This record gives sequence, structure tokens and C-alpha cells, in this order.
Amino acid sequence: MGVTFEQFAVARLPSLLRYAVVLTGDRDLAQDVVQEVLARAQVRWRRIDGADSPEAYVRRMVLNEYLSWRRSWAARNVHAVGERLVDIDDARGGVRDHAQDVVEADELWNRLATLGRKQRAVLVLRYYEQLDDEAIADLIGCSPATVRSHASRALKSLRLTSERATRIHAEEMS
Amino acid sequence: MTEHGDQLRRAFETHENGGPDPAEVYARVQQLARGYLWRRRGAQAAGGAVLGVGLIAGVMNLPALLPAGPNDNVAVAPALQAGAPAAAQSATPSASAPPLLTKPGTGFEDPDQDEFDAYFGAGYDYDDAVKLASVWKKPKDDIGAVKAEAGRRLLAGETLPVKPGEGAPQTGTVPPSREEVRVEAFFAAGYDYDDAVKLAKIWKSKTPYAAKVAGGKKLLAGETLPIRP
Repeated sequence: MGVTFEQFAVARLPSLLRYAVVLTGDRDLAQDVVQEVLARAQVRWRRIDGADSPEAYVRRMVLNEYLSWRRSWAARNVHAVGERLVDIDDARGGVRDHAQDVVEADELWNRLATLGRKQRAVLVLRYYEQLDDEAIADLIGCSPATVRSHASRALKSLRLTSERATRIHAEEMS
Repeated sequence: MTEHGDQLRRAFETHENGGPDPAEVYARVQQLARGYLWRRRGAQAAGGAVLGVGLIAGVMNLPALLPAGPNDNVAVAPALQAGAPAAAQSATPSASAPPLLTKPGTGFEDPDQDEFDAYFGAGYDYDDAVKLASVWKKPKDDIGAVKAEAGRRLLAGETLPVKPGEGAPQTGTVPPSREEVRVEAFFAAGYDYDDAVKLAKIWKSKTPYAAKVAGGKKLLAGETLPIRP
């Protein structure tokens, strides 16, 4: 209570940006989302500051903004995937033996970009924010069963992609 | 945590710091907020809500810094810290100062500031810029340049080929479910999550979400809810 918007922004902006980057998987989109949210938060700060947790409130705004973001999403997404693929190639050419974890994290990050927004959001909320399915359901606006369904499909999609990529890679090597 | 949970967490955490410069974001937030405030001014002139002068004035100043939160493992951006001294000198903004029209003086001024102001002040937003980019066949990965160009044309007295708000995407490609319609009605009436929590207690709903759905249903039926938004 009693924190000004500016104090809040200065203290929490880095954290909000990290959250947005993980949610969107795209640096520019994360910036757009956080900017839009904070600009709106700024003009209605008194109400937000009166909430039990202003940060939780704003993080929820970030999530909602991401889920409702309809602007050139596909173009941005494809662009981001392309960039990440280049990054991975660079990593493989260098210190793969010493950075296997990083390379695998990059590959998984890249595959995450192929998920739908709700599926990705569920994974972020579950594994990055470490929320339970009830809380995720409330944030996203669906039932806990739907959350589990999103998570299941997302994990399955990531695994299938991985298996397929592995198979293709094996075929290319043979 | 499960193995795939660990993998996902690692993927998220190894990429979470790939975001933009907080100082740059903060500067843009100020620009956007200025546009919102200008639109509010228009609404005010038409009998809309009045925004507190103190809040408006506060927009322009970067105050003394708070330490990062306990879960923050990244320091506040140095560029933001650089603005602190100037802000400290004006911790109590003068209500007589013209808060919306002066630049913050924290090193964040944009060379296209006047163009941005004209663009947002005319009621245009990001969606409109995307549409303008299509019309003008400009790349969409630099929407800021499109906004600046649009602002320049507005300042030159030209009319843009897109009206304010026209860039909003068409809805209805996927029909919303009945639940979504009800939740939408709930929020459209001005209620929010905190209200849903209160309603869930009153109605003994299992979750706030259930209260949102139930509340939206009642609103759509023309009923009133036991609490106000």
C-alpha cells in the first residue's frame, strides 16, 4: 500500500520483463506487452495499488495482454523461431560438449515457440511461476481440467516434436 | 519436480534475461501513458472521468529507487538508476507545472517525441500502426517508425488512411463459448478478479472463475449482482 507507480515500476520492471519474455518467447513482443500493460496500470494506479498484491495484479494483466494479443502474432512467432534456430546452430558449432544443458534448453525453448498461447502460458505458469492448476485455471479463465488438458497437449506436442526431430536427425546422419 | 518440469524450468530460466532494456521500456511506458492521458482529457472534456493532477504529474518523474524485491535476482537497470538524482530533486511534483507537455528530462527523450505525441494524441494505437504498416507496405518489425511517420503526417495536417481504432482485429473467427461470453460480460460490466473473489464467498462458488461465469450469466439476464464493480 502507498507505493507510487514509479516506485513499483522501477522495482518490478526487470521481473515483469523476465516474466513477459518467458511467456511470449519473443523479446519485442515482451516489450510491447509490458509497455501496454504498464501504461494502462499507470493511469489506474490508485485502484491497482489498493489491491491485495499490486504485483500479482500487474502480472495478471501481463498474462491477459499476452493471451489476447492478436497483433501480427504469427509473423513475430516465425521470426523468433528463425532467430533461435540460428542461435542454436552457433551454439552447436562452438562449445557443445561443455554446454549440453544450454543447447538442450535452447532447443526446448525453440520448440516452445510452436505451442499455442494458452498451452505455453499453462507451462509457464506451472513450471516457471510454480502455480497449481487451480490458480492457473483462475488466471486463464478456464477449469482446472482444461488446464490439465492444455498442459498434457503441450507436453505431448513438445515430446512429439523432439522425437520427430531426433528421427530426422538420425536419418540425416545415416 | 518432474524431469520435463526441470527441463522446462531450465529452458525458461536460461532465456528469461533476454528481454529489452528496462530504461527503454520505461520511456515507452511514459509515452503510451501520455497518449492514454490525452485521450482521457478528451473524455474529460466530454464529461468523462477526471484524472488526478498528482497522478498525471507523477508520470513524468522517476522517483527515488526501491530495492529490488526478494525474488529479483537482477539488479535495476543502471540506466534507470541514472535518472534517480533528477527525480530526487523533484520528488514532489509541482501541481502548477505543465506535466503532460514537458519532457521528463531524464535522458529518455525520443527524437520522434512530437510525432509520437501527435500519433497517440489523435487516438491511434499499436493495432492501427500495424494496419498502417500494411497499407504503406512498411516492415512490421519496426512499428515505432510507422508511428513516427504517421505522427509526422498528422503534424503536417494530413489525413491517415486508417482511422483511430480501425486497426483492431476482427473478432469472431472462433465463436466464443457460452462460458467465455459470460466471463466477458462480467468484465465488461467493470468487475474484476477481486470482485469475483468476493462473489465466490457470497455465492459459495468453488472458484472465483465460477463466480465470474455465474456473475456474467446474471448480468446477461439483466440481473444485478450483490456487489458493485
